[in-house]
Formats: sequence, structure tokens, C-alpha cells
Amino acid sequence: MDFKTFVDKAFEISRRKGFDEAEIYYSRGGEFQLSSLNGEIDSYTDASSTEVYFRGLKNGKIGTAFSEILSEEVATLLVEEAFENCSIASGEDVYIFHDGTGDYNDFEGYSGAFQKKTVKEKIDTIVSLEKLALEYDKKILMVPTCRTADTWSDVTIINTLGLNRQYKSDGGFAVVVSLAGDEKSKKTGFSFSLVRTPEELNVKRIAEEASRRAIDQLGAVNVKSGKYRVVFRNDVFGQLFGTFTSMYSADNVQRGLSVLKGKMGTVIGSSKLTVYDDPFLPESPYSKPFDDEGVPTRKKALVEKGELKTFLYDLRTAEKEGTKSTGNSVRGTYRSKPSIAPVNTVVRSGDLSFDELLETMGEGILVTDLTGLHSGTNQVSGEFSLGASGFFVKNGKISNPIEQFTISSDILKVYSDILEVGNDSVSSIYRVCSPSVLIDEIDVASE
Amino acid sequence: MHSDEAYSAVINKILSGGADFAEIFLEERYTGSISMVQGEVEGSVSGKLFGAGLRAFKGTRSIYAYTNELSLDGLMKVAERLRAVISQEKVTDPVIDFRNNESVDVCPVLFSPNNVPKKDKVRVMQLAHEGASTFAATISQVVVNFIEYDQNVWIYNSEGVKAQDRRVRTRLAISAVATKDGQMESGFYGPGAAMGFEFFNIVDPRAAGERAARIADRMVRAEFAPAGRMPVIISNEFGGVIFHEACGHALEATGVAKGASVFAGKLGQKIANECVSAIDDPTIPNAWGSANVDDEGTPTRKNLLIDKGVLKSYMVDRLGGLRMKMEPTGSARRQDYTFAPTSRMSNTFLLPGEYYPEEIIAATDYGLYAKSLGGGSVMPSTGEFNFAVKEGYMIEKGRVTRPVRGATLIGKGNEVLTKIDMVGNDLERGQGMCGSLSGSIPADVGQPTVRVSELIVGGRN
Repeated sequence: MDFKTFVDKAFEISRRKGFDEAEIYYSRGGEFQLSSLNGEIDSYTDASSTEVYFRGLKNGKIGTAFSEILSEEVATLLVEEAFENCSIASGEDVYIFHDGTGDYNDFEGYSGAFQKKTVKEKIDTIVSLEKLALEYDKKILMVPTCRTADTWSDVTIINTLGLNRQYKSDGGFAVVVSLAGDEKSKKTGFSFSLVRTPEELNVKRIAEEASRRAIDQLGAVNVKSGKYRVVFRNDVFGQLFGTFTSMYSADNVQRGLSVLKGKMGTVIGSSKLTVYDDPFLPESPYSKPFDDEGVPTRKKALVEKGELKTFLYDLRTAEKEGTKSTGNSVRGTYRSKPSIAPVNTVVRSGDLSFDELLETMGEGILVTDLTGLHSGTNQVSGEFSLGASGFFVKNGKISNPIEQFTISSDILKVYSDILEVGNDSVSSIYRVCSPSVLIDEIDVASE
Repeated sequence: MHSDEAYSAVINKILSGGADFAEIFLEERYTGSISMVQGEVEGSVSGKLFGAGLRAFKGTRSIYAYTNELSLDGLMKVAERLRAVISQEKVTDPVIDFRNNESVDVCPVLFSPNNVPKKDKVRVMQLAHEGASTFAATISQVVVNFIEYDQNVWIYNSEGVKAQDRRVRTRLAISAVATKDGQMESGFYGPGAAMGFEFFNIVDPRAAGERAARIADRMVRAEFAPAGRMPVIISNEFGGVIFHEACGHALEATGVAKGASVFAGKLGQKIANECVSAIDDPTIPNAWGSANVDDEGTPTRKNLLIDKGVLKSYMVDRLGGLRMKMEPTGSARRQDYTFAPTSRMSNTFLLPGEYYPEEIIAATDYGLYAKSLGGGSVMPSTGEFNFAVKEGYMIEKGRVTRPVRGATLIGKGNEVLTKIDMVGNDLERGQGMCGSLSGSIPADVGQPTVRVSELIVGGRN
């Protein structure tokens, strides 16, 4: 059944069933993944998928249902299921749909460049990625993870209020974990690169970075527990920052689950801290012209020179405060309800190079890896206690690698303790583009 | 569903490209979630997944493709893509004679998710909400989630395996937030089982809510945990996440076969203190991580992993088995058809020892008592792990004293196993979601109360 017929059918059934308004979110996508081991492709995934969501409104209440195929039977099932879901909804919140008005950016997120590459070319890329990582140094024992992937998606949102928008995007990534070892210990090094086109993938850089990072960690010694000045390497600060962006969600603020509640317009961090949500970041495959409710996205400052400028809203939370959606509704996986999140978080870079940041710190710790971000962070209080690895810095220079340690603080203290911001911005896996950052004081536990 | 002959034709299509092995995994799943915030139903989402995952092996290379096109035509197209990837000389294959992999149903279900009215589920959620919100005056926010699915899978492969399984899961997840003097802390409890709505005959939703609230209420009164090395006593049930992270993942064939595990090549060797024995058991009736057959159609079985400190077995899937020259152990799992299966844990836990938990505490002069743990993670190739203490107390002079918050525990899996020096007699299991290569899957962790003689506690100085 073609999409247009499916939509007409579902909207007609919805009307008969008694919904006031109806909306369909339809997404088609594909992924191609390779991983290699010892010069051979050890796993290969080539896939296509379809998702369709039906949302119905009745008296300001919402019901949602999803499926993965388009047929008349499915249209009926979706409406029935959504209607039962809507019937148990309670509370004061009023849900609305977007009518399709507003300024839509003509951002183009699809190049088709990955799909033009042959399987052979992709295989050559990953085999050389693993080879370069392995041959970087004889201390590299193996490359436990060597993976490349590219994906595309085509999203359409259409509703009975007149919204009808489509957007296509594609991109890819490469990830390498190298394992280095000597007589005493084994250490891993990680490198990740997120790109829009295959040409942007610098195979040599990624491979060498992962292996160099693993080797650099060999010979790690324990550091004494205590309070230290810390430089977070660019991608690592991006991960830490990205883990706490849920505090900007108006939903969490309204429910009293954000440490930013009541702080609009006040100073929440160092004057060196400026943060944007930039939905049109050219290098990000997540960039998009409208959010998952069809509302146009736009670039805005979340924090400007330490001052909190805005929270992030979807249609429901905006309606609650009599304001406008900021275009930050995210559907996420189809097993849960949508949430609110930045499209691409950008921490504005400063003037200092990475080496100058270390010189400014003088003595302290360079953090190059964090673990336990999903469990060691308290999203409600902003506190965190995380596993880490890194280097001891003495007289402004890297002195020696440090054995596994922990860092503990809270995110707003980190915001306030920012002394300097580097000029070496990079995009990390947490959809954050960030430079390296020097923080005044963090608790470190080890010996 | 198509006929056996049709699936045989799809498999033969893949084999005709020179593959050594071909497999079809079909899935149909109803899944639903209801979210309640402060006693009001804020969202209810449900629907159906349909898909097929096709896999081929050539040597130890694995090729995987999935699709929502379940017509014979759609499956044949995907099979053709797999064939083209291997594309070697043609071989002719006879029609496959599928043998049904019969198994005893260890997870019978009374009330299917689909057949229970949603308002009954909301009633259960309200009870959990009441339990949590009335527990203490500090409780400022309660979120209750009801999560359920009914998954049917069919597996066919070129070795004649034909298997079917149904996995029903029900879980109640409660998050409570306590506020005191401007400080906010949260508590979580999420009991679940391979059962339908009858799960609530054995689990009291109100008590579950109270438990989440208790953690939040205790922690909002807590000081920061101290930092540094110290003995840590880890309570039973979800405390088992320490074994799951510190050791379990490194015993999965995924890492072992590549040599990327600290426990590779250690079968028959002593890797833990003598008081440590551990099993992975997907055959426990109606347990959260149980199944009758694994996601490759192999009947599940109980696997003794560590016996009195000696490594006895890994968890092995087909591909891992080929690489390691070992038999699969019924441990292949995947989130859904969009993932190729790999070796995973099911219900994994330490077996009970001789001590009463009180004896273990009394024998400890100073240390941390980790009553509830959150999630964690591990790098199997180095053994370095971390996990979060969600409810902690200090132990001083053999007694549990003041509550402490914000502690993360770090260490190396191979080292921690030798540092477990006391094991209690109070084995319990707890439910979690485990994420790895083949996606996020339900898994039980478990243990009796144990003492680790020394771990790094990441608190404040």
C-alpha cells in the first residue's frame, strides 16, 4: 500500500473512531555496517526498515501507536490501539499538533555520497583502517573493535491540521578501539569520527589516534586521591556536557526535576561558557530543518557568557507556559514517548590551544576518558562520580599516564569552575561539539 | 508465515552463493509502555514490530541483513543480497529437512499483554505511585512506567534447525525523587519477569513503590561518600551487577573468541577466590532473562561458569563457537531482528556461601556498604569496570552507620574476583537491561551479600 493511500485511510478511520485530529510520522531508513578482525570482514549488516506512528488527539489528550508495515489492516489497528491509549490519559496537560506554519530552513542533509560507494570500496576502507591501527606500533596487540557504518533516513510528518513535511538525511561513522600491551599491563585507546560524507573520513587519523591513545596509557601509575585542577580533552568534555543536557528540557524544569529550575536569566556558569543548540551544524548527520512534531528548528543560545538564556520546549511544554516550541521534540526509540533534547549542542571555543591549556593549568590532571556516564550521573541533582583515565600534568606538560581513577563533582560546579576554554573543537558521540576545557577543582579518588 | 519449503528455498538461495551456513530469524512482537507522572497517565504508546533477520556464515565471516518485507518475495530479495556478498561458486542443495527443536516451556504465561485492559495496568501503576508518594514527606516526584512485550520468534537454519519461542515480559519501573533543603536525590526500583499480568500476583506494586522512595529518602539525607581504597560489602540481589560487569561480559564468546578478554585461554584455571561460584541459567521458570531456546534456536541450558574459583565455561554462540572450536551453550541473544545475535548473559549470578550477611558486616572494621547498585560498564579486554552505588552506608566498627551518596566503584574484573573474601547465604536476583553488541536485552543479575576486600570508591575528599 502506498503512503498517500495509507494516510487517507488512517485519517478517515480516525475521524470515524472519534479523534479530533490525527498525525502520521513515517520514517524509512537503511543502514550498512562493517566490522573487521585480523584483516577480514567479520560482520556485515545491510538493512532497511520502516516505522510508522499514528498519534490521535481527543479533547487535548493524546494516544500513540506504531507499526512497521503499511496496510489497511495496520491502519485500523493503529487507530484502535491509539484510541485505547488515549482513553487512559489523564492530568492537566494539553497536547496540540503543529499546523505547518513558520519559517523552515532549506538545510540539505542528504548527499547520497555513502550510497554511491561500492561495497568493495567500503570493505577496502575498513580493512585499511584496522591495518593502520594494528601496524602503528608493535605494542598494539590487536584491534578489538573496528567498525564503520553509514545510514540514511527519510522522514515524513503529516497531520489533519495541514502539516506536511519531508526531510532526508544521511551520514556515517567509524570507531576504532586499539589494545596495547607490555609486560605489565593492557590498555585500550578509542577513536570515533562522525561524518556526513565518506570523503570526510580520515582513516589514517582515526587509526593512529586510537593506537597512540592506547600506547600512551601504558605504564600508568596511581595518583593520590585529592582535589585537582583538571583539563577535559575536547571529546571527553563533550560527553560529560552531553550527559547533562536533559536539565535544559522544559519538561524536567516544569516537573521540578532540573537543577536549572528558577534560574532563567541568571548566571549559572563561568563567563567563558557559551553554549548553542545548532540544528544546522554542517558536519553533523543529526542536523535537520524540523523536529519530530514538524516544528521548524532554529539556532539559539542556551547559555551566553555564563547566563542561562532559554530552556528547550516541545509543543506541550510550550503550551503549558504560554510560549512557543523551540523545535526540540525528539521521538527517540518507538518503545517510549518522545522527549526534549538539543539537536546539536555546541560549546563555543575560546582562544587557547590545547598545549596552552595545559600550560595554564600548570599542575593537574588531563582527563582523556570517562566511563559509567549512563549510571554514575544523577540527572536530578547534577552530581556525578565517574570512572576515568588520563595523564598527570606537571609544569604545564604531560608527565605520565595515570591508572584508572574516579572524578566526582556536580555539573553546575563544573560550569562555574571553567577557567579557560580551548580552540580545538570536535564533535563527540553525544551530539556535542566541544573544545578542551580547563576546570578549577574536581575530586579525584584513587590511592 | 510461509511453509517450510518456502524457508528452505530462502536458505538455499543464500547457500547457493557458497555460504557454509544460513539462518532465518522471524519476529513478531507486541510492545507497550505506559508512563505515569505524579499519578497521572502522561503517555501510553504501543504497537507491533514485524521483521526478519537473515544471516550467512562463510568460514568465520558473518553477514547479516534485516527487513520488514516479510513476503516470500521480500525475503528472497534479501537472500539474493547475502548471496551476492559471498558470491562464490554455485553449489546445489537439497530441500532442508527441518527438525522441530522441541523444548519444555519454562515460561508459561496466564494473561497476555494484549488481553489485559490498559486501565487494569493503570490501577497497578496507581498503587505503585501511592506506595512511593506516601512513603515520606521528602518525596517530591514519582514516575511510574509499565513496560511489557509479547515476542514470538521463529528460527530456521541450514542445519535443519526449526525452533519457535514466545517471550512475554512485564516490568514495573518506579523512579522517586526526594527533596530536602534544596537537595534532590532519586531512587529507582524496577521488578520484572517473563510473565504476563499475573506478575502482580507475586509482586506488590505498593511495596515496589515504597522501595524506590526509601532509596531517595535515605540518600537525600546522606553526606558524600569518602574517596579512596577500602573494603566494600555489596548487598544481595541487584548487587550482582558487580559480577555481571566485572566478570560476566568478559566470559562472553564475543570477546573471548577474539582473544579480547582478560579470561581468554583460562578454562580450567583458578580465576577467583575459592568462595566464588557462578552460573548463567536461562532455564529458571519465568525469570526476567529466561527463554526456552536462544535466538539461534539452540535449546537453553544452565551453564556453570565458575566452580569454587575455577573457570569452567564461557557463554558461546554459533559464530563464537566456530572461532573457539566449542559447542554453542544456548547463549545467543539479540534485542530484536535488527541485530545479529551474539553471546550474552541471561540470568547470571554468584552462588550462596556460608555466612549470614550480619556476620560479614560484623567482621568489617571500616568500609562501604553498597545496599543498592545502579548500572555499570566494562572494557572486557582490560577488565576495567565501573558501577554506581545508588544507596550506600558507611560501616564503622562492624556496624552499618550513616548513609552516604554519590559513590562510584572502579576496579579490574580479574583482580576483584580474587578479592571477594566473604560470601553470604542470602542469594537473590534483580532485574536489569543489559546493553552490548546485539542491543539491549532483559537480564537478571544476582548474588548473596559479598565482601570485596578492597575497591576504589569514587567519593569526595
